[in-house]
Amino acid sequence: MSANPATAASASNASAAVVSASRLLVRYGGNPKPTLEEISFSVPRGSVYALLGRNGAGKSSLVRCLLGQQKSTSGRCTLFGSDSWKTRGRAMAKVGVVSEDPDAPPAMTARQLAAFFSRLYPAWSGASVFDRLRRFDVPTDTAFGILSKGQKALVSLALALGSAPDLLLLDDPTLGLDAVARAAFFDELVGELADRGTTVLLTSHDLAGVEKMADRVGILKGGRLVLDESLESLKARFRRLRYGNEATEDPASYGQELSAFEAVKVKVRGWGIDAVVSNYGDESFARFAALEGVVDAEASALSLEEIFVAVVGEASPAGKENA
Amino acid sequence: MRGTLAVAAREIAERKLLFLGAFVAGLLPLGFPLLPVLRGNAHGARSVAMFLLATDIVVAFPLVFGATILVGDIAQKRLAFYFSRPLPGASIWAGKLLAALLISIGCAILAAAPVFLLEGERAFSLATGGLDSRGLLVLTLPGVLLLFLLAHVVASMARLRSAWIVLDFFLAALFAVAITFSIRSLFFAGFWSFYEPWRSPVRSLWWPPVALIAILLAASCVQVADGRTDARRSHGALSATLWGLIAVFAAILGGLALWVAGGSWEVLLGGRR
Repeated sequence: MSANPATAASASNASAAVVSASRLLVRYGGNPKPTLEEISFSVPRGSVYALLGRNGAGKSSLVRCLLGQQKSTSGRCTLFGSDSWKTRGRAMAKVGVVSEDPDAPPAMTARQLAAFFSRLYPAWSGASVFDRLRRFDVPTDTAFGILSKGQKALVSLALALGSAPDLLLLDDPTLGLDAVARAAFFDELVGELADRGTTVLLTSHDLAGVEKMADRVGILKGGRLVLDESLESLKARFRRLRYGNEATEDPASYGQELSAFEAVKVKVRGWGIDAVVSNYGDESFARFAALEGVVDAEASALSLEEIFVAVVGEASPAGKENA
Repeated sequence: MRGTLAVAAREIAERKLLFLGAFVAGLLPLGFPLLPVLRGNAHGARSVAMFLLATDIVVAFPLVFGATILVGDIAQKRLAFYFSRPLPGASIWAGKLLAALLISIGCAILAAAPVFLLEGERAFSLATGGLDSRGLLVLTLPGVLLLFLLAHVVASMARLRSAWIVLDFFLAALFAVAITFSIRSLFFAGFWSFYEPWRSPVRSLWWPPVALIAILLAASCVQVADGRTDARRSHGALSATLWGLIAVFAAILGGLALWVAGGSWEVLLGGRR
Protein backbone atom coordinates (compact mmCIF):
# COMPACT_ATOMS: atom_id res chain seq x y z
CA MET A 1 0.00 0.00 0.00
CA SER A 2 2.50 2.60 1.06
CA ALA A 3 4.43 1.98 -2.15
CA ASN A 4 1.54 3.51 -4.07
CA PRO A 5 1.99 7.29 -4.30
CA ALA A 6 -1.75 7.84 -4.51
CA THR A 7 -2.21 5.95 -1.25
CA ALA A 8 0.51 7.87 0.51
CA ALA A 9 -1.14 11.10 -0.58
CA SER A 10 -4.54 9.95 0.62
CA ALA A 11 -3.07 8.87 3.96
CA SER A 12 -1.59 12.31 4.50
CA ASN A 13 -5.02 13.80 3.83
CA ALA A 14 -6.71 11.42 6.27
CA SER A 15 -7.47 14.16 8.78
CA ALA A 16 -9.37 16.12 6.10
CA ALA A 17 -11.10 13.01 4.81
CA VAL A 18 -14.77 12.32 5.43
CA VAL A 19 -14.01 8.72 6.31
CA SER A 20 -10.70 6.96 6.83
CA ALA A 21 -9.04 3.86 8.22
CA SER A 22 -5.53 3.65 9.58
CA ARG A 23 -3.66 0.35 10.02
CA LEU A 24 -6.92 -1.43 10.68
CA LEU A 25 -6.77 -5.04 11.85
CA VAL A 26 -9.82 -7.22 12.44
CA ARG A 27 -9.49 -10.76 13.75
CA TYR A 28 -12.43 -12.98 14.72
CA GLY A 29 -12.19 -15.40 17.65
CA GLY A 30 -9.18 -17.63 17.59
CA ASN A 31 -8.78 -17.44 13.81
CA PRO A 32 -5.04 -16.95 13.19
CA LYS A 33 -5.67 -15.28 9.82
CA PRO A 34 -7.06 -11.77 10.22
CA THR A 35 -10.20 -10.86 8.27
CA LEU A 36 -8.70 -7.40 7.65
CA GLU A 37 -5.03 -6.62 7.89
CA GLU A 38 -3.20 -3.27 7.79
CA ILE A 39 -6.00 -1.44 6.01
CA SER A 40 -5.28 2.25 5.49
CA PHE A 41 -7.24 4.47 3.16
CA SER A 42 -9.28 7.64 3.14
CA VAL A 43 -12.24 8.99 1.25
CA PRO A 44 -11.88 12.69 0.36
CA ARG A 45 -14.87 15.00 0.64
CA GLY A 46 -17.09 14.96 -2.43
CA SER A 47 -15.57 11.83 -3.91
CA VAL A 48 -17.21 8.53 -4.79
CA TYR A 49 -15.06 5.72 -3.45
CA ALA A 50 -15.82 2.17 -4.59
CA LEU A 51 -14.56 -0.55 -2.28
CA LEU A 52 -14.41 -3.78 -4.24
CA GLY A 53 -13.60 -7.35 -3.33
CA ARG A 54 -14.81 -10.88 -3.74
CA ASN A 55 -17.27 -12.42 -1.26
CA GLY A 56 -15.51 -12.89 2.08
CA ALA A 57 -12.81 -10.33 1.26
CA GLY A 58 -13.76 -8.36 4.39
CA LYS A 59 -15.83 -5.52 2.88
CA SER A 60 -18.71 -5.75 5.35
CA SER A 61 -16.36 -6.01 8.35
CA LEU A 62 -14.60 -2.89 7.11
CA VAL A 63 -17.90 -1.05 6.66
CA ARG A 64 -19.01 -2.00 10.18
CA CYS A 65 -15.73 -0.70 11.61
CA LEU A 66 -15.99 2.53 9.62
CA LEU A 67 -19.53 3.05 10.92
CA GLY A 68 -18.44 2.46 14.53
CA GLN A 69 -20.63 -0.62 14.80
CA GLN A 70 -17.76 -2.99 15.39
CA LYS A 71 -14.51 -2.49 17.30
CA SER A 72 -11.42 -3.38 15.36
CA THR A 73 -8.72 -5.55 16.93
CA SER A 74 -6.29 -2.70 16.37
CA GLY A 75 -5.99 0.41 14.24
CA ARG A 76 -8.40 3.30 13.94
CA CYS A 77 -11.31 4.47 11.81
CA THR A 78 -12.54 8.03 11.61
CA LEU A 79 -15.78 9.65 10.48
CA PHE A 80 -15.52 13.38 9.80
CA GLY A 81 -12.11 13.39 11.50
CA SER A 82 -13.21 11.82 14.81
CA ASP A 83 -12.80 8.26 16.02
CA SER A 84 -15.82 6.45 14.63
CA TRP A 85 -16.04 4.03 17.59
CA LYS A 86 -16.12 6.85 20.12
CA THR A 87 -18.26 9.42 18.30
CA ARG A 88 -20.55 7.16 16.27
CA GLY A 89 -23.80 8.47 17.77
CA ARG A 90 -23.14 12.07 16.77
CA ALA A 91 -21.44 11.30 13.46
CA MET A 92 -24.34 9.19 12.21
CA ALA A 93 -26.53 12.30 12.02
CA LYS A 94 -24.52 13.17 8.88
CA VAL A 95 -24.38 9.65 7.41
CA GLY A 96 -26.95 7.84 5.27
CA VAL A 97 -26.60 4.07 5.25
CA VAL A 98 -27.99 1.48 2.86
CA SER A 99 -26.98 -1.98 3.99
CA GLU A 100 -26.44 -5.14 1.99
CA ASP A 101 -29.43 -6.82 3.57
CA PRO A 102 -32.18 -4.23 4.07
CA ASP A 103 -32.61 -4.42 7.84
CA ALA A 104 -35.62 -2.23 8.57
CA PRO A 105 -38.18 -3.90 10.84
CA PRO A 106 -40.39 -5.94 8.50
CA ALA A 107 -43.69 -4.78 9.97
CA MET A 108 -42.99 -1.08 9.41
CA THR A 109 -44.15 0.73 6.29
CA ALA A 110 -42.03 3.29 4.48
CA ARG A 111 -44.27 6.00 5.95
CA GLN A 112 -43.71 4.71 9.50
CA LEU A 113 -39.98 4.41 8.89
CA ALA A 114 -39.90 7.99 7.64
CA ALA A 115 -41.79 9.13 10.75
CA PHE A 116 -39.32 7.26 12.96
CA PHE A 117 -36.31 8.75 11.17
CA SER A 118 -37.79 12.24 11.37
CA ARG A 119 -37.40 12.06 15.16
CA LEU A 120 -33.72 11.15 14.89
CA TYR A 121 -32.24 13.37 12.15
CA PRO A 122 -32.08 17.13 12.62
CA ALA A 123 -32.00 17.79 8.85
CA TRP A 124 -34.78 15.37 7.95
CA SER A 125 -36.84 16.09 4.87
CA GLY A 126 -39.90 13.90 4.74
CA ALA A 127 -41.09 15.61 1.54
CA SER A 128 -37.97 14.53 -0.36
CA VAL A 129 -38.40 10.94 0.83
CA PHE A 130 -42.00 10.74 -0.35
CA ASP A 131 -41.12 12.51 -3.57
CA ARG A 132 -38.46 9.86 -4.31
CA LEU A 133 -40.75 7.00 -3.34
CA ARG A 134 -43.40 8.38 -5.69
CA ARG A 135 -40.85 8.53 -8.51
CA PHE A 136 -39.68 4.99 -7.71
CA ASP A 137 -43.35 3.91 -7.70
CA VAL A 138 -42.89 2.21 -4.33
CA PRO A 139 -45.96 1.97 -2.07
CA THR A 140 -45.54 3.93 1.16
CA ASP A 141 -48.13 2.04 3.20
CA THR A 142 -47.02 -1.52 2.54
CA ALA A 143 -45.04 -3.35 5.22
CA PHE A 144 -41.31 -3.28 4.46
CA GLY A 145 -41.10 -7.06 4.89
CA ILE A 146 -43.40 -7.79 1.95
CA LEU A 147 -41.83 -5.34 -0.53
CA SER A 148 -39.73 -6.82 -3.33
CA LYS A 149 -35.96 -6.77 -2.95
CA GLY A 150 -35.68 -3.90 -5.44
CA GLN A 151 -38.36 -1.89 -3.65
CA LYS A 152 -36.63 -2.46 -0.31
CA ALA A 153 -33.37 -1.14 -1.75
CA LEU A 154 -35.12 1.92 -3.16
CA VAL A 155 -36.92 2.60 0.14
CA SER A 156 -33.59 2.27 1.95
CA LEU A 157 -31.97 4.71 -0.48
CA ALA A 158 -34.83 7.21 -0.20
CA LEU A 159 -34.60 7.05 3.61
CA ALA A 160 -30.81 7.33 3.56
CA LEU A 161 -31.03 10.45 1.38
CA GLY A 162 -33.85 11.92 3.49
CA SER A 163 -31.45 13.33 6.05
CA ALA A 164 -29.40 15.17 3.36
CA PRO A 165 -26.29 13.26 4.49
CA ASP A 166 -22.73 14.47 4.02
CA LEU A 167 -21.66 10.85 3.59
CA LEU A 168 -23.62 8.07 1.95
CA LEU A 169 -22.42 4.58 2.79
CA LEU A 170 -23.80 1.89 0.53
CA ASP A 171 -22.90 -1.71 1.35
CA ASP A 172 -23.61 -3.72 -1.78
CA PRO A 173 -27.04 -2.10 -2.14
CA THR A 174 -27.84 -3.57 -5.56
CA LEU A 175 -27.10 -7.17 -4.62
CA GLY A 176 -29.80 -9.39 -6.12
CA LEU A 177 -31.61 -6.55 -7.92
CA ASP A 178 -32.78 -6.86 -11.51
CA ALA A 179 -31.39 -4.57 -14.21
CA VAL A 180 -34.28 -2.09 -13.99
CA ALA A 181 -34.05 -1.73 -10.21
CA ARG A 182 -30.26 -1.40 -10.43
CA ALA A 183 -30.57 1.31 -13.05
CA ALA A 184 -33.14 3.21 -10.96
CA PHE A 185 -30.88 2.95 -7.93
CA PHE A 186 -27.77 4.24 -9.69
CA ASP A 187 -29.70 6.96 -11.57
CA GLU A 188 -30.98 8.33 -8.29
CA LEU A 189 -27.50 8.23 -6.85
CA VAL A 190 -25.99 10.02 -9.81
CA GLY A 191 -28.71 12.68 -9.52
CA GLU A 192 -27.97 13.13 -5.82
CA LEU A 193 -24.26 13.49 -6.55
CA ALA A 194 -24.91 16.07 -9.23
CA ASP A 195 -27.22 18.05 -6.94
CA ARG A 196 -25.36 17.96 -3.65
CA GLY A 197 -21.89 16.51 -4.16
CA THR A 198 -22.41 14.03 -1.33
CA THR A 199 -19.38 11.89 -0.47
CA VAL A 200 -20.12 8.25 -1.25
CA LEU A 201 -18.44 5.09 -0.03
CA LEU A 202 -19.82 2.18 -1.96
CA THR A 203 -19.20 -1.55 -1.95
CA SER A 204 -20.70 -3.45 -4.85
CA HIS A 205 -20.36 -6.41 -7.15
CA ASP A 206 -22.09 -4.42 -9.90
CA LEU A 207 -18.88 -3.09 -11.41
CA ALA A 208 -20.52 -1.66 -14.53
CA GLY A 209 -22.73 0.50 -12.31
CA VAL A 210 -19.81 1.46 -10.10
CA GLU A 211 -17.65 2.44 -13.07
CA LYS A 212 -20.16 5.10 -14.13
CA MET A 213 -19.87 7.01 -10.90
CA ALA A 214 -16.75 6.09 -8.91
CA ASP A 215 -13.76 8.38 -9.01
CA ARG A 216 -11.62 6.33 -6.66
CA VAL A 217 -11.35 2.56 -6.23
CA GLY A 218 -10.01 0.29 -3.48
CA ILE A 219 -9.71 -3.46 -3.97
CA LEU A 220 -9.66 -5.85 -1.02
CA LYS A 221 -8.08 -9.24 -1.50
CA GLY A 222 -7.63 -11.76 1.29
CA GLY A 223 -8.18 -9.07 3.92
CA ARG A 224 -5.61 -6.66 2.46
CA LEU A 225 -6.19 -3.52 0.44
CA VAL A 226 -4.13 -4.38 -2.61
CA LEU A 227 -5.11 -1.33 -4.62
CA ASP A 228 -6.27 2.20 -3.77
CA GLU A 229 -6.19 4.87 -6.44
CA SER A 230 -8.26 7.03 -8.73
CA LEU A 231 -10.29 5.25 -11.39
CA GLU A 232 -8.72 7.47 -14.02
CA SER A 233 -5.17 6.48 -13.07
CA LEU A 234 -6.19 2.84 -12.72
CA LYS A 235 -7.69 2.76 -16.19
CA ALA A 236 -4.68 4.55 -17.63
CA ARG A 237 -2.12 2.10 -16.28
CA PHE A 238 -4.02 -1.16 -16.90
CA ARG A 239 -4.10 -2.46 -20.49
CA ARG A 240 -4.75 -5.70 -22.27
CA LEU A 241 -1.88 -6.61 -24.64
CA ARG A 242 -2.45 -9.07 -27.45
CA TYR A 243 0.32 -10.22 -29.73
CA GLY A 244 1.60 -13.12 -31.79
CA ASN A 245 4.75 -14.67 -30.42
CA GLU A 246 7.61 -15.64 -32.72
CA ALA A 247 10.31 -15.05 -30.14
CA THR A 248 10.23 -18.58 -28.76
CA GLU A 249 10.26 -21.90 -30.58
CA ASP A 250 6.82 -22.77 -29.27
CA PRO A 251 4.56 -19.90 -30.33
CA ALA A 252 2.13 -20.83 -27.54
CA SER A 253 4.67 -20.05 -24.82
CA TYR A 254 6.20 -16.70 -23.99
CA GLY A 255 9.64 -15.48 -23.06
CA GLN A 256 11.19 -12.25 -21.84
CA GLU A 257 9.36 -9.85 -24.14
CA LEU A 258 6.92 -8.82 -21.37
CA SER A 259 9.68 -7.98 -18.90
CA ALA A 260 9.22 -4.25 -19.43
CA PHE A 261 5.70 -4.55 -18.02
CA GLU A 262 4.23 -5.74 -14.75
CA ALA A 263 2.01 -8.50 -16.03
CA VAL A 264 -0.94 -9.12 -13.72
CA LYS A 265 -2.31 -11.95 -15.82
CA VAL A 266 -0.95 -13.78 -18.85
CA LYS A 267 -2.86 -16.34 -20.91
CA VAL A 268 -1.55 -18.33 -23.82
CA ARG A 269 -4.16 -18.57 -26.55
CA GLY A 270 -4.05 -20.46 -29.82
CA TRP A 271 -3.30 -17.28 -31.76
CA GLY A 272 -0.68 -15.95 -29.32
CA ILE A 273 -0.44 -14.22 -25.97
CA ASP A 274 -3.16 -12.34 -24.08
CA ALA A 275 -1.73 -10.35 -21.17
CA VAL A 276 -3.04 -7.77 -18.70
CA VAL A 277 -0.39 -5.34 -17.56
CA SER A 278 -0.57 -2.82 -14.74
CA ASN A 279 2.09 -0.29 -15.80
CA TYR A 280 1.16 0.52 -19.36
CA GLY A 281 2.78 3.48 -21.09
CA ASP A 282 2.64 4.49 -24.74
CA GLU A 283 6.43 4.67 -25.04
CA SER A 284 7.10 1.31 -23.42
CA PHE A 285 4.38 -0.21 -25.62
CA ALA A 286 6.02 1.22 -28.75
CA ARG A 287 9.35 -0.36 -27.70
CA PHE A 288 7.56 -3.62 -26.93
CA ALA A 289 5.78 -3.69 -30.30
CA ALA A 290 9.11 -3.18 -32.06
CA LEU A 291 10.74 -6.17 -30.33
CA GLU A 292 11.89 -9.00 -32.55
CA GLY A 293 9.44 -11.88 -32.40
CA VAL A 294 6.49 -9.72 -31.23
CA VAL A 295 3.93 -9.70 -34.04
CA ASP A 296 0.78 -7.60 -34.47
CA ALA A 297 0.88 -6.23 -30.93
CA GLU A 298 -2.16 -4.28 -29.88
CA ALA A 299 -3.16 -2.63 -26.60
CA SER A 300 -6.74 -2.12 -25.51
CA ALA A 301 -8.31 -0.38 -22.53
CA LEU A 302 -9.96 -2.44 -19.81
CA SER A 303 -13.26 -1.99 -18.06
CA LEU A 304 -13.25 -1.79 -14.26
CA GLU A 305 -14.66 -5.32 -14.19
CA GLU A 306 -11.78 -6.65 -16.29
CA ILE A 307 -9.24 -4.87 -14.08
CA PHE A 308 -10.94 -6.24 -10.97
CA VAL A 309 -10.91 -9.81 -12.32
CA ALA A 310 -7.26 -9.45 -13.30
CA VAL A 311 -6.32 -8.18 -9.84
CA VAL A 312 -8.31 -10.53 -7.63
CA GLY A 313 -8.89 -13.50 -9.92
CA GLU A 314 -6.48 -16.32 -10.64
CA ALA A 315 -3.20 -14.64 -11.50
CA SER A 316 -0.41 -15.86 -13.67
CA PRO A 317 2.88 -16.86 -12.01
CA ALA A 318 4.17 -13.52 -13.15
CA GLY A 319 1.72 -11.26 -11.63
CA LYS A 320 -0.18 -12.17 -8.51
CA GLU A 321 1.17 -9.35 -6.34
CA ASN A 322 1.93 -6.90 -9.08
CA ALA A 323 -1.22 -4.79 -9.01
CA MET B 1 -33.83 11.18 25.77
CA ARG B 2 -35.36 12.00 22.40
CA GLY B 3 -33.70 8.91 20.93
CA THR B 4 -34.83 6.71 23.82
CA LEU B 5 -38.43 7.83 23.39
CA ALA B 6 -38.26 7.34 19.61
CA VAL B 7 -36.98 3.77 20.02
CA ALA B 8 -39.56 3.02 22.73
CA ALA B 9 -42.38 4.44 20.60
CA ARG B 10 -41.28 2.34 17.63
CA GLU B 11 -41.10 -0.85 19.68
CA ILE B 12 -44.51 -0.18 21.23
CA ALA B 13 -46.08 0.63 17.85
CA GLU B 14 -44.84 -2.70 16.49
CA ARG B 15 -46.63 -4.51 19.34
CA LYS B 16 -49.73 -2.33 19.65
CA LEU B 17 -52.07 -5.26 19.06
CA LEU B 18 -51.01 -6.68 22.43
CA PHE B 19 -52.84 -3.80 24.11
CA LEU B 20 -56.03 -4.62 22.25
CA GLY B 21 -55.62 -8.31 23.04
CA ALA B 22 -55.13 -7.60 26.75
CA PHE B 23 -58.21 -5.36 26.86
CA VAL B 24 -60.37 -7.94 25.08
CA ALA B 25 -59.10 -10.64 27.45
CA GLY B 26 -59.99 -8.33 30.35
CA LEU B 27 -63.58 -8.13 29.11
CA LEU B 28 -64.09 -11.89 29.33
CA PRO B 29 -64.54 -12.04 33.15
CA LEU B 30 -67.44 -9.60 32.82
CA GLY B 31 -69.42 -12.46 31.32
CA PHE B 32 -68.95 -14.70 34.35
CA PRO B 33 -72.38 -13.91 35.86
CA LEU B 34 -73.87 -15.47 32.73
CA LEU B 35 -72.25 -18.82 33.54
CA PRO B 36 -74.64 -20.91 35.65
CA VAL B 37 -71.83 -22.52 37.58
CA LEU B 38 -70.55 -19.12 38.79
CA ARG B 39 -73.86 -17.43 39.29
CA GLY B 40 -73.60 -17.50 43.08
CA ASN B 41 -70.14 -15.97 43.33
CA ALA B 42 -69.69 -14.01 40.12
CA HIS B 43 -68.10 -11.00 41.85
CA GLY B 44 -65.40 -13.07 43.47
CA ALA B 45 -64.82 -15.21 40.35
CA ARG B 46 -64.35 -12.28 37.99
CA SER B 47 -62.13 -10.50 40.48
CA VAL B 48 -59.95 -13.61 40.77
CA ALA B 49 -59.93 -13.98 36.96
CA MET B 50 -58.89 -10.33 36.56
CA PHE B 51 -56.13 -10.75 39.13
CA LEU B 52 -54.81 -13.95 37.54
CA LEU B 53 -54.91 -12.43 34.06
CA ALA B 54 -53.02 -9.30 35.14
CA THR B 55 -50.52 -11.39 37.11
CA ASP B 56 -49.94 -13.70 34.15
CA ILE B 57 -49.24 -10.67 31.96
CA VAL B 58 -46.79 -9.03 34.36
CA VAL B 59 -44.94 -12.33 34.71
CA ALA B 60 -45.08 -13.72 31.16
CA PHE B 61 -44.56 -10.52 29.15
CA PRO B 62 -41.29 -9.43 30.79
CA LEU B 63 -39.96 -12.99 30.51
CA VAL B 64 -40.81 -13.16 26.80
CA PHE B 65 -39.58 -9.63 26.05
CA GLY B 66 -36.46 -10.16 28.11
CA ALA B 67 -35.62 -13.25 26.10
CA THR B 68 -36.37 -11.67 22.71
CA ILE B 69 -36.58 -7.90 22.42
CA LEU B 70 -32.84 -7.13 22.63
CA VAL B 71 -31.21 -10.55 22.49
CA GLY B 72 -33.10 -11.51 19.33
CA ASP B 73 -31.86 -8.38 17.57
CA ILE B 74 -28.27 -9.02 18.64
CA ALA B 75 -28.34 -12.73 17.78
CA GLN B 76 -29.98 -12.14 14.39
CA LYS B 77 -27.75 -9.14 13.61
CA ARG B 78 -30.72 -6.76 13.37
CA LEU B 79 -29.35 -4.21 15.81
CA ALA B 80 -27.39 -2.57 12.95
CA PHE B 81 -30.67 -0.87 11.97
CA TYR B 82 -30.44 1.22 15.15
CA PHE B 83 -26.66 1.53 15.21
CA SER B 84 -26.75 3.04 11.70
CA ARG B 85 -28.76 5.95 13.12
CA PRO B 86 -27.69 8.87 15.32
CA LEU B 87 -28.59 6.96 18.48
CA PRO B 88 -26.22 6.33 21.39
CA GLY B 89 -26.06 2.66 22.41
CA ALA B 90 -27.51 3.55 25.83
CA SER B 91 -30.55 5.14 24.13
CA ILE B 92 -31.19 2.00 22.10
CA TRP B 93 -30.97 -0.10 25.26
CA ALA B 94 -33.12 2.28 27.33
CA GLY B 95 -35.73 2.62 24.58
CA LYS B 96 -36.19 -1.12 24.26
CA LEU B 97 -36.27 -1.60 28.04
CA LEU B 98 -38.79 1.21 28.46
CA ALA B 99 -40.98 -0.30 25.73
CA ALA B 100 -40.93 -3.73 27.40
CA LEU B 101 -41.90 -2.23 30.77
CA LEU B 102 -44.65 -0.03 29.34
CA ILE B 103 -46.15 -2.84 27.28
CA SER B 104 -46.04 -5.30 30.21
CA ILE B 105 -47.58 -2.92 32.73
CA GLY B 106 -49.88 -1.23 30.23
CA CYS B 107 -51.33 -4.56 29.09
CA ALA B 108 -51.82 -5.68 32.70
CA ILE B 109 -53.67 -2.43 33.48
CA LEU B 110 -55.86 -2.81 30.39
CA ALA B 111 -56.60 -6.44 31.27
CA ALA B 112 -57.61 -5.42 34.79
CA ALA B 113 -59.48 -2.28 33.76
CA PRO B 114 -62.92 -3.69 32.81
CA VAL B 115 -63.45 -5.56 36.10
CA PHE B 116 -61.82 -2.77 38.11
CA LEU B 117 -64.12 -0.17 36.56
CA LEU B 118 -67.11 -2.32 37.47
CA GLU B 119 -66.09 -3.46 40.95
CA GLY B 120 -63.80 -0.66 42.12
CA GLU B 121 -61.10 -1.34 44.71
CA ARG B 122 -63.22 -4.19 46.07
CA ALA B 123 -62.04 -6.24 43.09
CA PHE B 124 -58.50 -6.39 44.48
CA SER B 125 -59.50 -7.34 48.02
CA LEU B 126 -61.87 -10.00 46.67
CA ALA B 127 -59.09 -11.45 44.49
CA THR B 128 -56.28 -11.36 47.02
CA GLY B 129 -58.23 -12.34 50.08
CA GLY B 130 -57.60 -8.97 51.74
CA LEU B 131 -53.86 -8.64 51.03
CA ASP B 132 -52.58 -5.08 50.76
CA SER B 133 -53.26 -4.35 47.09
CA ARG B 134 -51.24 -1.14 47.16
CA GLY B 135 -48.21 -3.09 48.37
CA LEU B 136 -48.66 -5.54 45.49
CA LEU B 137 -48.88 -2.68 42.99
CA VAL B 138 -45.72 -1.10 44.38
CA LEU B 139 -43.90 -4.40 43.84
CA THR B 140 -45.07 -4.70 40.24
CA LEU B 141 -42.59 -2.32 38.59
CA PRO B 142 -39.41 -3.71 40.20
CA GLY B 143 -40.78 -7.22 39.72
CA VAL B 144 -41.37 -6.68 36.00
CA LEU B 145 -37.94 -5.08 35.68
CA LEU B 146 -36.23 -7.96 37.51
CA LEU B 147 -37.98 -10.61 35.41
CA PHE B 148 -37.14 -8.78 32.18
CA LEU B 149 -33.48 -8.42 33.13
CA LEU B 150 -33.09 -12.00 34.35
CA ALA B 151 -34.66 -13.33 31.14
CA HIS B 152 -32.45 -11.01 29.09
CA VAL B 153 -29.26 -12.12 30.81
CA VAL B 154 -30.07 -15.85 30.64
CA ALA B 155 -31.18 -15.58 26.99
CA SER B 156 -28.04 -13.61 26.11
CA MET B 157 -25.85 -16.30 27.58
CA ALA B 158 -27.78 -19.04 25.80
CA ARG B 159 -28.32 -17.40 22.40
CA LEU B 160 -25.14 -15.46 21.76
CA ARG B 161 -23.15 -18.67 21.84
CA SER B 162 -19.70 -17.48 22.72
CA ALA B 163 -17.10 -19.17 24.89
CA TRP B 164 -18.06 -16.82 27.73
CA ILE B 165 -20.87 -19.25 28.61
CA VAL B 166 -18.40 -21.59 30.34
CA LEU B 167 -17.32 -18.76 32.65
CA ASP B 168 -20.97 -17.76 33.10
CA PHE B 169 -21.93 -21.22 34.39
CA PHE B 170 -18.96 -21.43 36.71
CA LEU B 171 -19.34 -17.95 38.19
CA ALA B 172 -23.13 -18.23 38.46
CA ALA B 173 -22.75 -21.34 40.62
CA LEU B 174 -19.89 -19.83 42.67
CA PHE B 175 -21.63 -16.54 43.43
CA ALA B 176 -25.02 -18.20 44.03
CA VAL B 177 -23.46 -20.29 46.79
CA ALA B 178 -21.48 -17.36 48.25
CA ILE B 179 -24.42 -14.93 48.25
CA THR B 180 -26.91 -17.48 49.59
CA PHE B 181 -24.51 -18.41 52.37
CA SER B 182 -23.99 -14.75 53.35
CA ILE B 183 -27.69 -13.91 53.34
CA ARG B 184 -28.46 -17.06 55.31
CA SER B 185 -25.77 -16.27 57.90
CA LEU B 186 -27.16 -12.77 58.29
CA PHE B 187 -30.65 -14.19 58.63
CA PHE B 188 -29.70 -16.59 61.41
CA ALA B 189 -27.79 -13.82 63.17
CA GLY B 190 -31.07 -11.86 63.28
CA PHE B 191 -29.56 -9.08 61.16
CA TRP B 192 -32.32 -8.54 58.62
CA SER B 193 -35.09 -6.20 59.55
CA PHE B 194 -38.36 -6.66 57.69
CA TYR B 195 -40.12 -3.60 59.04
CA GLU B 196 -39.51 0.12 58.79
CA PRO B 197 -36.54 -0.19 56.42
CA TRP B 198 -35.93 3.56 56.58
CA ARG B 199 -34.82 3.22 60.25
CA SER B 200 -31.84 1.08 59.24
CA PRO B 201 -31.46 0.75 55.47
CA VAL B 202 -28.41 -1.51 55.81
CA ARG B 203 -30.49 -4.06 57.70
CA SER B 204 -33.36 -3.92 55.28
CA LEU B 205 -33.82 -7.05 53.20
CA TRP B 206 -34.83 -4.77 50.32
CA TRP B 207 -31.38 -3.59 49.37
CA PRO B 208 -29.93 -6.88 48.05
CA PRO B 209 -32.65 -7.27 45.36
CA VAL B 210 -32.42 -3.54 44.54
CA ALA B 211 -28.65 -3.90 44.18
CA LEU B 212 -29.18 -6.98 41.99
CA ILE B 213 -31.55 -5.02 39.71
CA ALA B 214 -29.01 -2.18 39.49
CA ILE B 215 -26.26 -4.68 38.57
CA LEU B 216 -28.42 -6.30 35.89
CA LEU B 217 -29.36 -2.88 34.49
CA ALA B 218 -25.71 -1.82 34.31
CA ALA B 219 -24.60 -5.10 32.73
CA SER B 220 -27.27 -5.11 30.03
CA CYS B 221 -26.66 -1.42 29.24
CA VAL B 222 -22.91 -1.98 28.85
CA GLN B 223 -23.68 -5.04 26.73
CA VAL B 224 -25.59 -3.01 24.16
CA ALA B 225 -23.49 0.17 24.34
CA ASP B 226 -20.15 -1.62 24.04
CA GLY B 227 -21.08 -4.84 22.22
CA ARG B 228 -23.11 -3.03 19.52
CA THR B 229 -23.64 -5.33 16.55
CA ASP B 230 -20.92 -7.82 17.48
CA ALA B 231 -22.59 -10.77 19.26
CA ARG B 232 -19.39 -12.14 20.75
CA ARG B 233 -18.25 -8.78 22.07
CA SER B 234 -21.78 -8.17 23.33
CA HIS B 235 -21.71 -11.38 25.39
CA GLY B 236 -18.23 -10.51 26.67
CA ALA B 237 -19.32 -7.02 27.76
CA LEU B 238 -22.38 -8.46 29.53
CA SER B 239 -20.44 -11.17 31.36
CA ALA B 240 -17.49 -8.99 32.36
CA THR B 241 -19.74 -6.24 33.77
CA LEU B 242 -22.20 -8.63 35.39
CA TRP B 243 -19.66 -10.84 37.15
CA GLY B 244 -17.42 -7.93 38.07
CA LEU B 245 -20.27 -6.13 39.85
CA ILE B 246 -21.65 -9.35 41.36
CA ALA B 247 -18.18 -10.04 42.79
CA VAL B 248 -18.26 -6.63 44.51
CA PHE B 249 -21.81 -7.32 45.72
CA ALA B 250 -20.82 -10.77 47.06
CA ALA B 251 -17.75 -9.32 48.75
CA ILE B 252 -19.87 -6.65 50.50
CA LEU B 253 -22.41 -9.24 51.66
CA GLY B 254 -19.65 -11.62 52.77
CA GLY B 255 -17.85 -8.84 54.64
CA LEU B 256 -21.13 -7.87 56.29
CA ALA B 257 -21.75 -11.49 57.32
CA LEU B 258 -18.26 -11.74 58.86
CA TRP B 259 -18.69 -8.43 60.68
CA VAL B 260 -22.10 -9.46 62.02
CA ALA B 261 -20.63 -12.78 63.15
CA GLY B 262 -18.18 -10.69 65.26
CA GLY B 263 -21.15 -9.44 67.31
CA SER B 264 -20.48 -5.69 67.53
CA TRP B 265 -23.05 -4.74 64.88
CA GLU B 266 -25.94 -4.57 67.38
CA VAL B 267 -24.42 -1.53 69.10
CA LEU B 268 -23.87 0.30 65.83
CA LEU B 269 -27.07 -0.59 64.00
CA GLY B 270 -29.56 -0.66 66.85
CA GLY B 271 -29.63 -4.37 67.77
CA ARG B 272 -32.18 -7.08 67.15
CA ARG B 273 -35.79 -6.19 66.74
